[in-house]
Amino acid sequence: MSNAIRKRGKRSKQLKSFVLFGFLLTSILILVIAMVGRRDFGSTQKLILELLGPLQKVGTQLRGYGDGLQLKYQLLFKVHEENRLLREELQRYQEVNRQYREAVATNERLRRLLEFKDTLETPTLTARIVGKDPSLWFRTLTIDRGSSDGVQKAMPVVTVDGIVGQVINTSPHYAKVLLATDPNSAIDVLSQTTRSQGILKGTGSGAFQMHYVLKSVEIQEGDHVITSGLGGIFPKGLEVGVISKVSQSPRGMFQEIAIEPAVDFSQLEEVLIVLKENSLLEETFD
Amino acid sequence: MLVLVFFLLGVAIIVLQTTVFHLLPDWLGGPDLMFLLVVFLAHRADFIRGPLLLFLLGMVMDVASGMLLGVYPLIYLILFASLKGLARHVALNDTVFRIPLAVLAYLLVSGGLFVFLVLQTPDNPPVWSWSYIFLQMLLLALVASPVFLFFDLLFTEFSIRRFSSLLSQEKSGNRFKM
Repeated sequence: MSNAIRKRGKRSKQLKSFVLFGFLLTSILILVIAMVGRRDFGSTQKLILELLGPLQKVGTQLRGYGDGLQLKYQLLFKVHEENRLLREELQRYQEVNRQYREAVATNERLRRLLEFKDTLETPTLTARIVGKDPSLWFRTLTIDRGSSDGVQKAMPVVTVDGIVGQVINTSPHYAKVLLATDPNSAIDVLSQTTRSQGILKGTGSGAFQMHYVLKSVEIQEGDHVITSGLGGIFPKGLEVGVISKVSQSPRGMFQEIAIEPAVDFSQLEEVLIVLKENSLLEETFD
Repeated sequence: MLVLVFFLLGVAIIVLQTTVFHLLPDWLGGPDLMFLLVVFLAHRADFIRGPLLLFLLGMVMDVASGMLLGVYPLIYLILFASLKGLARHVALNDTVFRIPLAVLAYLLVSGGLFVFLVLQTPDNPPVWSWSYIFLQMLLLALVASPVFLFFDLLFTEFSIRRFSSLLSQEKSGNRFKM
């Protein structure tokens, strides 16, 4: 029994050696034939190649995809960084551009203001608006010129486009201006074409009304209204606005005249104060 | 301390309203934060610090707005007294009714001011616009909640009660302790 088992084990060992040797020999044989004979693939190699080829193709594509992905990721990172830098640069240039445009606009406004200043006979002072009335019912401004600059109560305030209002209070470095659109404001004006005279008052809502013009007096829509110079506050001939509507109520002896202001009060930034020596004007507000 | 902090806050609000808020479109107007501060002080401040603050802030507001000196202190003090009186006689929960009360008070104050101006300039009365007034009330209602919350935080932070409570902590509740 034990002899039989020993014999079977010995045979198995021999078989394994034969198989290994056989494969080795076959390989050597193939190598020798390949080296000596024609170097063409046999049918087996061709079949193997046919099967292997597509797999390699897929593998290569996958690798290529992976390489591409890696490259793209690297590029993306670079692009992201570059994009950030470009955005920062763009913001810097936009800011510079904004400052430039602002400077050009300010320059243009001040140039116009200066030209207008030269046309006025009386000396003027440029002022910047620092505050606007937040109330629904009052229309005033705060400007950065005060009594130390020679600004006094009742001095007229104008822009290139027309009248703005009058100074009502001053401190050494600031002054408060009552806008012509405030209902408390009253300015002597006249129609440029018909020379009809009246008193300009604010409606409180950004427009004017011309009061005390008799129904018998001719007045036209579209006509320009200017300061008459009679009130003693505003110089004569300053633009006020354009007559937008004329109506006559059955009652009363005066016409109702609406005037569209020449000045855009919502866009005011700089104004001119017309300096006057006449302190008698102060009595108007005292 | 509380008076100083709220005075500075009021001044900051006035500066904000007279400068930055004008960047908003004209048709929209701007929320009257100062009015909210007045309503807030009427609810939270006592009868000494409240009127003192409102008088001082009213004077500052007089300089920044309008042409009749004394209008704003008067409006603020009347509003303060009215809201205090209302809170004393009507059982209103402050936090619940504060916003609608502020909006309603805004309408009443605007109406009162309008009547005053009509009487002052009868030949050229100002124009009353319901749509604009309602828009301002809406704006006020929208911003009231966060603004009141901010005021509350400040008030709690700088209230003298904190100091007084700190002082009171020094005294022990143990009556037998020597």
